[in-house]
Amino acid sequence: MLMKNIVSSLLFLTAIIVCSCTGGKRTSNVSTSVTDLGENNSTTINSSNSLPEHPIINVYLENSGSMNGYVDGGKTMFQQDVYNYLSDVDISGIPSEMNMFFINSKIIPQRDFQKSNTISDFINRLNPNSFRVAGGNTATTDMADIFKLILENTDNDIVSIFISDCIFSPGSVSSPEAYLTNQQIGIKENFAKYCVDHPNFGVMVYQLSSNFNGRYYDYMNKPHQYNGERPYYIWVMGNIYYLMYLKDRIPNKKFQGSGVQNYWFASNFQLEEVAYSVLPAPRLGSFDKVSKSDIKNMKPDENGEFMFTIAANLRLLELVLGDDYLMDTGNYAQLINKELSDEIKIKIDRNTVAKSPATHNISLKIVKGIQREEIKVILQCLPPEWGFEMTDDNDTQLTELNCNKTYGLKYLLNGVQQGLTARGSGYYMYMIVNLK
Amino acid sequence: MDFLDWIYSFKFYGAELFDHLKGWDDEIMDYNPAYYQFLSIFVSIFLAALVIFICYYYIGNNPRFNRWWNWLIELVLVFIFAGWWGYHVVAVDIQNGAIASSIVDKISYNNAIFFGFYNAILASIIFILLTILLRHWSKNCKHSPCTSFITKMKKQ
Repeated sequence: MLMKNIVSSLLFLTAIIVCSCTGGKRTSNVSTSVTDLGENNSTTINSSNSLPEHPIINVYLENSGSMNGYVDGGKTMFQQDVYNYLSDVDISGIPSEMNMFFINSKIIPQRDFQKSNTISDFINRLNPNSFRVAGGNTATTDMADIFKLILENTDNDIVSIFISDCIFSPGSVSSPEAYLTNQQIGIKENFAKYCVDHPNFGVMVYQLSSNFNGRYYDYMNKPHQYNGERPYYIWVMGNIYYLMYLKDRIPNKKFQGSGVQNYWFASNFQLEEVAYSVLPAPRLGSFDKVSKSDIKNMKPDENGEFMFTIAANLRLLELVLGDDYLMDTGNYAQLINKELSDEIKIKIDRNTVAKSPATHNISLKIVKGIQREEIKVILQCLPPEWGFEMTDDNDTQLTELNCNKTYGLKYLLNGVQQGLTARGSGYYMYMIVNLK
Repeated sequence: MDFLDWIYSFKFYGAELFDHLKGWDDEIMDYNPAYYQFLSIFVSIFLAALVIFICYYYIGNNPRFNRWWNWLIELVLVFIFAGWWGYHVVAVDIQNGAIASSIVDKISYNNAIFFGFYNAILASIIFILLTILLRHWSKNCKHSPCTSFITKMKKQ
């Protein structure tokens, strides 16, 4: 009888197993939330939908005396790279029209160019004489005034490309440092005023390098003959909607010659919604996930450490800011209950999970006791680290140590960053995790 | 679902395995209700305990089974089935690569064994609860494994 009992039990169990076999198995259904993530991001950018599809692109080439060494009838890397970039812009299909200007103390229009045929003419025929003949004040460079002129001629439907060596020329002023500081303030003011009416304004800065042969004017405006490599810059300024398109169509790898040495993007825009979620792993200690941004029952591990990881889809920001910027923990700030805190250690990794829409993993390690609190991580708009490294304080002698640096560069970049963030939040996005 | 989450919340079998069985999906960076497995696992072990309980007390229902060790054999059956079933569900997912990439490194067959053990204990508790609550109406086995509280009350 015992055997009968066991056999009948086993028969029932077998039936249960068969019935349950289909339960809970994963299928290959693709969740619609992947699409949702993309839509969330595009919604933010599509707020610029009232913009025309094709902007006017105005190209401003600085023609001060310091630029002479970069041009030689189309033979320099400067001319080849600029020609290549402007051609890429033209054939990208983004601009409705392209106009060329020289710029120094004033804007000097060049003949009505008919796009691609004349980009070649404009760039490759450049030589020191054509700079001089174009006119304007080619002796000194007032960067604040140049940016003011460009911004006055930039609008929601106009993108400006500014090409320059970006060297300040204090000339014979008694205090070059004071001059640079005043320039920085002037630049900040120009950008801040412009941003009042242009909330989605952004700036892309490419640092490139070219062979240079000619007179180099130091900060005292004293000429030195120099033959070697020198940096120069391409600034692209306009509505971020267009900048993203340009960056997408013309990634850094498309630049010719020695390529993009450094890159920086700054803007006064803020992503309204970033797709992010607390991940089950990696982590230290344990917690229960309540929702994408809420966790509870936090417990440190045996070493007293507690860490959790957020996966975030930063694809749009990656496009304009570049991965280097996103991977630099110095560009993030952490807040506990809305106050800046250094009690959270941050670590950024690429998200390598194939199916995940996330691009980055942001690990947050709490080095103090765990409490119920709100943790906020923000990605700030900061001047680039390389801006400090590439700044020359004294260029009276160009040597191996400073030939790839630019006099006063950090004042320029700081001024732009301060102007762009003067009225806005100063950050591109934020993520909040509630510890409950 | 919260009740089941709580039942399985003592994660000695592995926190990542808990996340997997709760339906973690890398594609949406969240738990996917379509992948939620606790319900099917719990229903399986509950039915197993119930079926064995009914077989012993109401279908078999023989005076010869009215011994504590007969009841213990049924309990062991429940334990073995639930343990095997818990292990099997996880092992199949490991074999089929059905675990999200972000947590797959943290889930091994050891976790499957521990989860099987957890499941076995859970099913045993269910069987014991069924025994306490529902055996009174069995004609021949209601005193197995011991005299019930209701019977004692009636005698008094």
